[in-house]
Amino acid sequence: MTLPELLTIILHISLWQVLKIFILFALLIYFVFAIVVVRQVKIMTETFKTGFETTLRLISWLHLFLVLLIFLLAVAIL
Amino acid sequence: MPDIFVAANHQRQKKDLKKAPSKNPGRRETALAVIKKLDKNLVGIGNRLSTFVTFPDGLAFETQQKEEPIVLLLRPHWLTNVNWLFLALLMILAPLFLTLVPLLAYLPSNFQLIFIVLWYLFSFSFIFEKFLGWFFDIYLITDERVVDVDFYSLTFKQIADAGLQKIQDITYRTRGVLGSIFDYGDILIQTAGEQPNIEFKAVPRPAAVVKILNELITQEEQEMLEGRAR
Repeated sequence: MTLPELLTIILHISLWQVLKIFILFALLIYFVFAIVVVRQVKIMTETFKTGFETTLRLISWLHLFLVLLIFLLAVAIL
Repeated sequence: MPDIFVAANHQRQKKDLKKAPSKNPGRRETALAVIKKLDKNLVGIGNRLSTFVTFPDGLAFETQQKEEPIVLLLRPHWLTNVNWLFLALLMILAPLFLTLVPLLAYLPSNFQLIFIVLWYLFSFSFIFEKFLGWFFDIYLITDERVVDVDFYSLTFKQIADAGLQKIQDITYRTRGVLGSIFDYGDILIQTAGEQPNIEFKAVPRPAAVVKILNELITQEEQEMLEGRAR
């Protein structure tokens, strides 16, 4: 790729595409955070058994699933 | 005929044995007797979501010994959650203000949708994290020790415990107007030697907690004198 070609590509990137990349990157980091939350809930429920283990784990997995779903939604509609 | 009477008597004796209290009561029964002696109303308070629970059923913690009964479970008073609950309510309602102040109006509709969905996702995780922080901020008193379960940041946990016989001094303080009205405060448990002190923060009914703790310490000392200490 020559320099003029590269410049043409860069100049044709719209603001919305940059924003899309930024949002997807943020969602990717958020996805890692959601994995940590799942792990955290596992540690907490193993440390102290309250009878709500299943509910809490289900919520943490649901949260992770939602992040994944929104990531896919963002890829699709942005 | 006499045989029948013998059999009936034998059965009755077996039933009586079942009903009769054991001469060697378990650790839970001993602790229960200690608390009942202190105040009958203190037994059977709270459920699994409460901040003050005596003899909680079906609860267990990681370092719990076999047959070690949990006498008291404490969490910070529910009023300590008011700040973040208020913030959570504002976060949930915030997108409604966008109709009044169109901050996202300059964005295309698909970006607006993603921003709002992300906002609610962030709000959800904020509420969940705060709830977990409160729910697992647990202080336990068993018949042998006090246990402080702490979770710092996301994956760091600390379980500190101190044997009842190592406790040297217990002080409690109620802070502020709300602490006085709703009867909650901090309890500082100072232990002997190099063991770290344990602090129960913003727990409900601190006076009752100190009473229970003192009673259990007396019981523990009694057991040590009698050579029954575990």
